[in-house]
This record gives sequence, structure tokens and C-alpha cells, in this order.
Amino acid sequence: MVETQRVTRLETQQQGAVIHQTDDLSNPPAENFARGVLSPGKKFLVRNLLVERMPIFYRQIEDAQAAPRDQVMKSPDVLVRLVSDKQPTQRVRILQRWIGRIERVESESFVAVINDLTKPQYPPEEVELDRGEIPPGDVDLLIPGAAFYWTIGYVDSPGGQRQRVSAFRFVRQPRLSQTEMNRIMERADRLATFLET
Amino acid sequence: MKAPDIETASIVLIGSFNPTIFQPRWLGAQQLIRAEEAANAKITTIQSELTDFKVEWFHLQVLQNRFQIACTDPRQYGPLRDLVSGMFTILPHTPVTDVGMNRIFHFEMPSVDVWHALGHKLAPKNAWEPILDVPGLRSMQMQGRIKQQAEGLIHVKVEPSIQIQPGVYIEVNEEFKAVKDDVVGAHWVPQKLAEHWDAILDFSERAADHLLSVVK
Repeated sequence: MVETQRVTRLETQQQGAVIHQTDDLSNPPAENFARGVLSPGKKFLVRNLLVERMPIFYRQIEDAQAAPRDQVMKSPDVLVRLVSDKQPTQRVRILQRWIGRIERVESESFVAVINDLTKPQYPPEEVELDRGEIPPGDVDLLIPGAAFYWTIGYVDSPGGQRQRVSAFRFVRQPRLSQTEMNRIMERADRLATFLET
Repeated sequence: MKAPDIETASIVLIGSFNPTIFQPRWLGAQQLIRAEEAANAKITTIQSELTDFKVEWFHLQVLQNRFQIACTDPRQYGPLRDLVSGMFTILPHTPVTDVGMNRIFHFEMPSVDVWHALGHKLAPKNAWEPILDVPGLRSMQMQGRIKQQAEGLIHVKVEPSIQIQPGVYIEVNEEFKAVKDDVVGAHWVPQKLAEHWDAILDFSERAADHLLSVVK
């Protein structure tokens, strides 16, 4: 690890980009510039990932690069608050969850085939559900073929109130361009031709 | 699995990113999140060096060399995978060298004695007692694979929880690297997530169950 007296590590982190806070950047250590560690003019400095991979730091046991940050935040005086697993405001416990596919949509309800993800050994089931279950922001996605997640569980508030909740969320995927659609249709045609011959 | 007291799932990518792209409005415009979620996002900063914002069910942070998205609601772990897949389907030329899929648990232990017993079981103290008084497990990380031929490298970390006393922190990480001969982009990311996300979530529960069971 690169150490300078004026740099305070914000995290105990063995890998990846580590953000440092410094109180004086007017004259950073020359050796750090030479190694590309620090760049001037920034209150927060991001150590280049490549520095971590210099042979001098190479270890046979490979550290996880794409792992979460450590659970300890060393300094409360951070300007950049890193993603942490601090206690959420509510605690969710899933009782059952499904992934479903819309079969047809009626005026007040919709019919879907759902697969139990909690007990995958169970066969798919066809269910009819009220349209009111769908969040307003997902109503446009309620069309045959659309996939959705459905979970039932408990939500415990910080005050100790337990609620039983049912939650829907539709699977969202990027919109395909016309070119991509054409490419997929061509591949489907080729596959169909192959299967027919 | 014993219900954890706190849990988080996250996806971390290492590579070269343009943080300013990753904005709630962009996600909303691409219909990867609801319009209401985009409008109500809590933005900490959007700069060329760093983007950081929270939507109701996830926290996204993008540095120029690191992308990290985390979620503490287990109902949203599937959508979290879909969201990252969607982003990098739209941005296939983003150079991504590593993908990490992570899950973190904090479990409250029934007593201080059981809490100590877990530490003793995972890191027996007889090797340490000749040189240290009252040795204790501060952090332990193991590395391996789910199966010998498996592609991803698993890291399991166990520490005392700093959020729950007496509690145990268990972190499971599976990491994949881009194929060296391949042109580095993000086209491989959605496929890796589709193949491995559910599996690592299941594995992390089995791993946590197993580790807690050593003191039953």
C-alpha cells in the first residue's frame, strides 16, 4: 500500500480504487506522482487500479477485486460516502416468491403462469390476479408475454411493526432497436429453416 | 436459512466507466426503472469522476474504474440483476475486466459464548496462544470454487459484525474475469449475470447456513 502522512485512508480496503482524503495537495510527494498514484488539484484522490496490480504488490493468493467495500468506515468526515451495508430502515423477510409470465389481460384482471422460486420442485401454476395488484408505474408493461417478479413476505419497520406485503415488479429489459429486431428475426428464420430440413 | 438481521446483495464491475452516463433520468428514459423512481432518486453527486445516487431499492455508485450497485431488499435481487444487465446491454462497448457478485449478511448470535465459539471453531487459538494473550478472530477470508472446474472464484469472509453485538458478518463474493484474448467490452456481463446471479445467491445462503451450523 502506498502511504503518505498527509493522506488519510477512508476505508480499510485491500483492493480496487481506494479514495483518500488529503489536507494539503499543494506539494504532494514526488514519488507518488512518479508512480501515478496521486493527481493534483483534487480534494479527493482516486488511486489508479493499475497501481494495485504492479508486480511489487502481486500476491499469489488473489484478492477479490470486485468485492464490496469493508464493513468499517474509518472516518466520519467523508465527503464521498461509499456504498455501505448500513442497517436499512426496514427489514424484509421473504415468505414466498415467484416469477411469472402474463398469458392474457382482461378488463379487471390478468391471467399468468407462475413458477415458485421458493420451492422450485413445484410445477407451474396458472393464476388470475386483480389488475389493482400492479404498481401504477408498471401498468404499461402489462401485456401478454411480459415477465414479472411476485413476492409475499413480512416487512418489519424500525418501530417494530410487522406488515405482510405482496409486491409486483415487472422485468425490464432494454428496448430493442429495429436493427436488432431484424437481426433476431433473421436468426429465428434461419433456425426454423434448419429445423425443418 | 436463519433469517439474517441485515443483508445486502451487490454487483461490482471493474473497468473503465463514464460516471456521468449513469443518471436516474437516463435509467428512466431507457425504461430500466419506473419513471417515478427516476424522478424521486436521491442524488448525492453526478460528476465526471463520480456518480452516486439512491433509488428506493438500490444505491448506485460509479467511479471511473469501478461500478457498484447495492440493494438491501431481498425482493429486489432479481430486478437488480436485470437492471445491470440492461445497462450493459445498452453500453456493450464499456471496457469491463471483472465482475463481482456479492452478498453480505449480519446475523445476531444467541449469546457472547456462542459468538466466541464460532471464532474458536473457524480459527483455533492454540496456534496463537504462545505469542498472543487473548487472541481473537478479527477477520478471516477463504478462497475457493463451488466446483473444482467452476469458472468463478469464490471468496468468503467472516468477521465480527460491527452493526450487531454479538453478531457475525459473512460476505460471499464470486468473481469473474473477462477472457484475456477477447476484445474487452461489456457484452459478456449480462450473460455472466444471467448464468450465475441466482446461483451465487443460493450458494451464499448455503454457505452462511453452514458456517453458523458449526456451533450448533
